Amino acid sequence: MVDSLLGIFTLTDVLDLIIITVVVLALNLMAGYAGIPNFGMAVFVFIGAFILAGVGTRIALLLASYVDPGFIDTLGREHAFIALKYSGSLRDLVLYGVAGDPVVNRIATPGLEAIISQDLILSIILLVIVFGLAIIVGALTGIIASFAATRLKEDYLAIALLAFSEMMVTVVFDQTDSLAGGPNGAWVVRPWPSVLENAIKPVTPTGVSPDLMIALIVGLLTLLLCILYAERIANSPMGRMLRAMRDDDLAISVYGRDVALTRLKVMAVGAAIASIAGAIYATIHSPVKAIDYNRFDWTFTPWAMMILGGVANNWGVILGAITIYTGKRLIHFYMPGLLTTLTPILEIVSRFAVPLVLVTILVILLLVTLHPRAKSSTMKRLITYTIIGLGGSIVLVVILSISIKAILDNIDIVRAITLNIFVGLIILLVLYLKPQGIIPEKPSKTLSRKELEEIQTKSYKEKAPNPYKTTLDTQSEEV
Amino acid sequence: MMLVLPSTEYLIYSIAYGSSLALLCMGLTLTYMVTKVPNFAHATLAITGSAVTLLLIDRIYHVFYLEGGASSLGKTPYYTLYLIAPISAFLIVGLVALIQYLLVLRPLSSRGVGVIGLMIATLAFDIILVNILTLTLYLMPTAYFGKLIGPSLKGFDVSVSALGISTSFSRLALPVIAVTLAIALHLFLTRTKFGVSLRAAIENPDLARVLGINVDLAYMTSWFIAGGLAGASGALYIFMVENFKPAVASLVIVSVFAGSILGGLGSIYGALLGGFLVGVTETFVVVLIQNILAAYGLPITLTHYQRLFSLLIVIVMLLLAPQGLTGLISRVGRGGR
Amino acid sequence: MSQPILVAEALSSGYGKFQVLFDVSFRVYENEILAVVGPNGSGKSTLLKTVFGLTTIYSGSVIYRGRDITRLPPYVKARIGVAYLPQTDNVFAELTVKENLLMAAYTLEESEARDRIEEVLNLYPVLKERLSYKARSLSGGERQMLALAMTLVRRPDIIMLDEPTANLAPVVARHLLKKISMLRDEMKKTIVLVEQNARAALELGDRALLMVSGRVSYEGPSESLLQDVELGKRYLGLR
Repeated sequence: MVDSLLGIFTLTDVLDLIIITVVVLALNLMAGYAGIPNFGMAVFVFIGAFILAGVGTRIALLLASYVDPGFIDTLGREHAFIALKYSGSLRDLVLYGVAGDPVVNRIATPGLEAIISQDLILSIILLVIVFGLAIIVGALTGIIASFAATRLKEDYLAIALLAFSEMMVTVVFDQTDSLAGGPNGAWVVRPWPSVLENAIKPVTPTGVSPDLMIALIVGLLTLLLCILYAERIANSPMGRMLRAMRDDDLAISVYGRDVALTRLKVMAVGAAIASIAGAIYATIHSPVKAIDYNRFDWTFTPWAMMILGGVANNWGVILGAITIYTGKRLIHFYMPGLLTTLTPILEIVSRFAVPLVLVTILVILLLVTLHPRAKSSTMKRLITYTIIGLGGSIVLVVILSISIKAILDNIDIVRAITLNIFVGLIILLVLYLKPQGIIPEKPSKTLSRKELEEIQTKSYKEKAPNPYKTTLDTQSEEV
Repeated sequence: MMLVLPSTEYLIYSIAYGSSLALLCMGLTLTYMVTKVPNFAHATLAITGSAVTLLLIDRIYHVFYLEGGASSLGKTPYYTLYLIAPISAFLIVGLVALIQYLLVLRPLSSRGVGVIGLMIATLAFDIILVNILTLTLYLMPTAYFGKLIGPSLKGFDVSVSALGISTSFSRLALPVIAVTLAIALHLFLTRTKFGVSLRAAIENPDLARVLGINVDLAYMTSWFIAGGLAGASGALYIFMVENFKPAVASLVIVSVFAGSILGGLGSIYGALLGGFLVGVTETFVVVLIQNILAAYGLPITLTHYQRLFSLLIVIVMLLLAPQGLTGLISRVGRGGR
Repeated sequence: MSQPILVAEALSSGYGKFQVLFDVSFRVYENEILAVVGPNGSGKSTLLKTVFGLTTIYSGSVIYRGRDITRLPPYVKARIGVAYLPQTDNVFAELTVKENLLMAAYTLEESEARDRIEEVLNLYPVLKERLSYKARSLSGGERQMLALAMTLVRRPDIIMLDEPTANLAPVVARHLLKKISMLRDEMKKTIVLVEQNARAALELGDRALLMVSGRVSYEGPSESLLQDVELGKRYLGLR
């Protein structure tokens, strides 16, 4: 691993950052502009990865044996069990072995890669097929999701998309060995021609594989194109209208068809972009396993980044991605050291744990009695925050001090857990501090009968609210 | 034909699993009716109940058996554990759910965060809860507690044999406890003034407030109960599984959603039915189909795909009949109006 | 003439920043029916809501039995005898008739609650037959009666009704109006009745309030308004 920027980013990390930024931008297109709360983003990313691992390897085998008919025999000679199990049958190997059988897959992929990259034509063919398919299948899936959006209301849509993603990635793919190795995953055949690899060599730092460099460059290109497209959407009249009408079902339904069509396009492009990102990611992170495309990393974290940056704000979203990713890297890098440094202090604290907790409880009890007597609501809120903050931090410190040894023994797990909690807390914090304009409503194509009736009976601007509902000013709301 | 049916033991397991899901679905639907947001953290609440049970039993085991040398007491304490565990899990997880309502959902909702934002908030809470749980279990001093991740309480599960069938106590206890809790909930919600006020507050909070009902207390109680149901479910569920890991919650949550959606998100009784159906489908029906296919010469292992069924149920129900079974039934009842 | 039980002085109110009532003043006398009529959107419903405290009040006051209740929250107003019955969402649809009444009596002590519910059921025997039916399975008229019954459980002094006969068949509407007049005659209640059906309301009411564009256009005996052909034609669609 080569230490690079700031000492905490390796070049692989940089690639990961580029990819996740592309994914977040794509999510922003889908959720921020097309108004589709995509809780199934993971599957879109996964499509590209799967096509590379599942389809690409098979195509590569076909191409390779076309050029070098003896390839399979060579393989069989070097690995007897291949000859036995597949009896040199190209058909079997393509249908199952090269992608579905983890052993064959591991053995065959380097050789395949060697053959493909030597031949410029072949690698271009593979490249076009893999990325072309990724785009097409991705776009189609995006279109399907768009249709689902017209039938379901937003929370149901979110659940449906989540269910779909889980189904495809964690069940169908993970459990079906024949697709691409099941839980063991499949190694990929990288479609880069050797010409490219040689051209890259001068700029490649020592110890870094040319594949990583190529992925970085391709990734950056994708990011650039993505930004260009996203900004074009944002600044176009249609884009501005989409953003302005996000929360206004009525306006959307009046404008109808044009908007629906643009939404469809935005969804398709966004999905295709995510898919490409997944494919690029997969060229470096082999083998492609379902567990690496889980909903936490590829749906939830992008949502966190998007919310932090500001929905429908492209540059904000990029900033959000960089911030959270950097935060994760910082935690990953500095946490063990920080804890080790703190150990002596914590040891002292642990000795005073009991009195410390007692004092805190007393203070909190005092604050709790003060709370009802507080004069203003800001005072009340201050007290509540102090109670929570004080209680939370003392609990944290005490637990830390008691278990510091156990933590340091299990530092990897603790660190991973801290990273997850970090992302979760960021989401809650952002939602708490700036709740406005987070998520757009779902678009509807035509007015339902109920909506028409509501329009007819509407005397005032708002939809018929509950008649007993007070307007905000006349009754104090409980916090 | 008889060869195709799974064993009676498996049927019992299936019913137990269905019962645990039914409990979870009731709680999920309850929270949905109160806050209009599907709580992604619900399964994790159940797992918290499992963790509580694990800690409790492990500690009691250490105190009474390993250190106290009370092995002469035999199996009797085990039976009391079956009562103590769900009760403590009910209370503790009810509290955790209440915390989720008070610290996450209520403040965000009063700040005007929409449904999607609230859903994400529940996802965030889920992440945080499951990780805190994992952390706690990892860090528990092994001398004090024994290793808590990956163990099984199956060893504690008393086996029961009768009529030539051999099963375990937890599998028999689960349906009983599920039915008991369901009946208790029904009585509470229909026969007590406070319970009726909960239903009133959920349906029309503004009218309820005018009548002097404390709507906020009603909401808090509902969340507490929902959490309690989840906790009780988790408390018994842990006896049935090998290799306990908190992360399992992220797999179960989909089945819970499937059950609630199947039953109809506006009806607790629907949730009971839907959860049970989904549970039995995922286990018994899947194995049944698998056996049938095998009998016809197509030996496919379907058990790996059991979650596929619940996921498909979610998608199909949402697209075709989002009001769930209860919605369909009431439509038929009203003459298709 | 008896004392005014409720006095509204220069009320200006609306929803948030959207003003609906402009400097509205009127009185309601004890044991009368005040009919509030006017064209659509004139602020009739808003008037009731304002008195009850469900709108944003910019200025003015509401005095009830000599006490300024303008800023009191609705549930307190309900407790001291001011009742408001909106046109929709006025019962718990998923609860049975019995449960609805139980909720109406929520803040009352058990024995008192029982008595009052008994009382109210005797007034509306049709509800007695439907005790275990869910409110949503009741007909429109029955539902309005349940809503009325729920209000009466709390023994209000003044009941403000917002278009109670809307969407009801004429026969049922007449029946309901008869029940409402019984409230004045037999139970000595004071009623403020907002109605789209101006003729029926004016015939039933003692005094009338004509609202036009958020202002009071007429306050006086309803008989006179009925006979004022000019006003009647222009604002009320009366011939």
